[in-house]
Amino acid sequence: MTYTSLNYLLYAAVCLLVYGVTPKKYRWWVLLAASMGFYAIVCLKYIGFIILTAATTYFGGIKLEKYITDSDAYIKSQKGKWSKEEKSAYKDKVTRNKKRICAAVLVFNFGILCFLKYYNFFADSLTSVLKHFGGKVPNLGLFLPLGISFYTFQSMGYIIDIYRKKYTAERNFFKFLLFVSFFPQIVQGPIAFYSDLAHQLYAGEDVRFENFKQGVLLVTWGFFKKLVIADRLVTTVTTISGDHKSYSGTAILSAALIYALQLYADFSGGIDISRGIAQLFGINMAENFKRPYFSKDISEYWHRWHITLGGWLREYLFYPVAMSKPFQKMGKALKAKFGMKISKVVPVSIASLITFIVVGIWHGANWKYVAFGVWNGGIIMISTLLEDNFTGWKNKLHIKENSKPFALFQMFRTFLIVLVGYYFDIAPNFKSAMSMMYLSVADLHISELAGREFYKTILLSKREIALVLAAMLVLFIVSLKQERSQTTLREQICKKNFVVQSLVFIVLFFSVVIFGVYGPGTDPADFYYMQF
Amino acid sequence: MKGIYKKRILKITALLIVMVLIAFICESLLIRTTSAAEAHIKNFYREPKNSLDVAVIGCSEMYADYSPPIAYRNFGFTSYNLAVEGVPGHFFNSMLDEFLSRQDPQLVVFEVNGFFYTEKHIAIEGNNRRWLDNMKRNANWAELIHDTIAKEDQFDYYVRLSKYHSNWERPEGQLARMYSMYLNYKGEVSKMKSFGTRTSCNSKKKVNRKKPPQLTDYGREYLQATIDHCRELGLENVLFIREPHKAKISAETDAELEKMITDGGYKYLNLEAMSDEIGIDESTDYYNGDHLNVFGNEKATLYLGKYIMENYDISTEHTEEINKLWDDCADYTEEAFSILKERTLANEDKVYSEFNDLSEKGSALREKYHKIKKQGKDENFDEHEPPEFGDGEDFPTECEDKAPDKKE
Repeated sequence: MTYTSLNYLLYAAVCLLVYGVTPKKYRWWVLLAASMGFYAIVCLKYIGFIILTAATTYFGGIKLEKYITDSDAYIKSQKGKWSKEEKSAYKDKVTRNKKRICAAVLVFNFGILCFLKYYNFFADSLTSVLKHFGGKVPNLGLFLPLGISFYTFQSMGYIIDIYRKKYTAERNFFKFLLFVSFFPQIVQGPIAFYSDLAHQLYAGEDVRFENFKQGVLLVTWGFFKKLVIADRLVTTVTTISGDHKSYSGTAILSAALIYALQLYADFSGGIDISRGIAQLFGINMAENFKRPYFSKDISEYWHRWHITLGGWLREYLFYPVAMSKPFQKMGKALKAKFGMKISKVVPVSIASLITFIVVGIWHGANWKYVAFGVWNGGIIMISTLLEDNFTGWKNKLHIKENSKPFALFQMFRTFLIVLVGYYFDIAPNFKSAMSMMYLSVADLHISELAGREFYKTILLSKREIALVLAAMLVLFIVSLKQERSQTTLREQICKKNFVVQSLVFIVLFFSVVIFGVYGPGTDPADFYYMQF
Repeated sequence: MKGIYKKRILKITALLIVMVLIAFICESLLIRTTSAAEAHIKNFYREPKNSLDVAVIGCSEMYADYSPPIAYRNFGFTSYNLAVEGVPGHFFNSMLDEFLSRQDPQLVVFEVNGFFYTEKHIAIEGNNRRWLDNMKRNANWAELIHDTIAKEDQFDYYVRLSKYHSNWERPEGQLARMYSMYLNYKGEVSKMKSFGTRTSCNSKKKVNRKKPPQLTDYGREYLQATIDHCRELGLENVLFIREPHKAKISAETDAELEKMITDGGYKYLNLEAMSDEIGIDESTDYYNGDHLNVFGNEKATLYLGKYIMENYDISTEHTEEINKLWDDCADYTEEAFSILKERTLANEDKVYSEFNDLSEKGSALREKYHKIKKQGKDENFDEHEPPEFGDGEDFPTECEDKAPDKKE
């Protein structure tokens, strides 16, 4: 039961119906049953993993909070009895113990994630070394439980927030299990903060007509992106990247460009379906994309692309690293030698680099993903370090910062940087990625685009290309409208009269029905981010 | 508050009705089986109720080898070929049920070729779809899908757009189909009562069996099911026939068929074995190994018609209105046959279905459409494009061509 299947839509519709007729107080039970039911249908074999993560995080959270509350109470009770040193020593002890509890939960759950995700890779790598000495590390043929990255990140964010005393721990295990397993987001996010999502899940919001309309519109839009655009292009990308040496540089570059569109349509389409379904239940989930290809620099891009992962990493990795004692020490040392500016920029740049390397490794156990992280982190590091120089050059060249042509240049430049990163994504390994990049430049022949053979190569007929271009135009216009507006386009549509609303929905719906890639003879493509 | 809810329910209902209507329009524009099958099946439903004396059910052999208007002209009984290319025998019961839902025939004739198919042939989607996608959507249709199609594929049969939506990429083929249907729906009823041929005595598009067909386990099961169904319905006059083929069934198969059918209480007639008696000349009366051309059709029709009149007490009394309608059909068919005979003698080797306009103007238009279709195909260079179904150009069928038991 994938998100684009009719079964899923029917499942969601039945859940919504039951949710709507259930008394408010018990509605969260319906969501929990729906979530666990969905997980059981799709991935029953691995349901233990999600329950284990929920249980360890839940009990860890309660233990951590209890320890914090008891310690605070104890410190209060000792007011006036302790010397400053005694109080400080006790506080240090408390911090250490807090860290231990938190770390235990983190290590255990990230340990499961890492083991399942990277064991096979390390086993194969070790075997390739050990085979010379007759040794072998068994490949356990492990599979990733559905949504493990997403629910692990979400749960671990919760335990860190409890550690930071941002909110109190959830006392009801089943409520916490719902937060971890909410079915519209389990496959590929968006990753939610407990403070944003949990109260909505437990509130038992009424099924409102406005939410219903907007939700349906968002789901249909998601289907449009996924079935009309992404799934039509996926074969082109996988075929060319899977055997790039058989193709010209023009075809390889085309595949990379097509991938840029396909990935965006796939991932954002899937997220729209998730958010749309959640909205039917009156639950507003965080936005995960804000027109990323309109970004003027790579930092902005990462604030617009997979926003919830970026937000999670900033909150729980980047800031802790950048504010950590070693980094503070580094700052101080640099300040003494190179001055204020360098002392601020260098630690931040290194923290960015570390964060992106983690992002890369999170994508998979492969050097190409490390390179992906280094590329993105490196660009951010360099651009932060050279920011003053860039400003100087702009002034010398009399470039107006806010001019439209310069903004377009910035967008194009950012897109090129992103595109280079995509080569690491689509290539089977680091070496192939480099080879593909080389061929894209050295073997580029624009004249190929005029020939019929080229279209055969990219496995798309002229009509399909025309359709994709038309769909891209629609996507561009919608994005532009969104970019210029404070409210979402679907909110604007839902404020229009019934005829306009219906017309938009009908056109969108039948575009999916007629132009979508589905039905007999097609092989429905999984969401790209599902694998992570 | 109640007023708001009422208004909303009304609005949603209106929206749903409009969407269902659009879906039906899209489906009717995008559906594409073979125009010949579509015409043969849909034209059956256009026949005046209870106007047919004889029901003829079978595969492509029937509309190639038997002409109801020629039989009417010579023997006075009305009949209709509810015949679909490559239709497997397990659909025969449903075809009979559809026939009986609108007509009250005095005799039912089954051609047994549908029982010779193998599992491989049955697995070809097109062979299911020609019947299921063109018959009326009713309880019989829904039950048939439920009973005969794998569960995971049933949705695509119930909601045909799921299968055919991708035909937006092939507008030339859809236009050709629409043109065929436009020609087909000219006139009150079908003129030739389900007909198709190729104007050749030895077509380049051959369907020649090297091995004679045999009854498979599948065939036995469904032949028995058909016999049982006829008995359940209380039908007294049921005739099972084998139309002439170049590769003739063996004596064992013939005997097995005869035994099963006569044990069931019905008659069996092997026209194949009577080819000499009928006057079939293998060098001039077939357009390929499995199908007679118009010359052979005329001979086989006259023989079968005579047999029916001699062996069954068929009343040929009809209202004046029905007689007039059928006289027109017979006149048209005779004229068409004379044109088609000329073209066959000239070995034109082109496919004709009942809706083709045989006039010079019609032929010129047909050529024009072929060119458009070909151009469109070239522009698209779509390797996955299915064989052209548009105007019956690939008659007899893509399925029969693909059927492994026949090719080998």
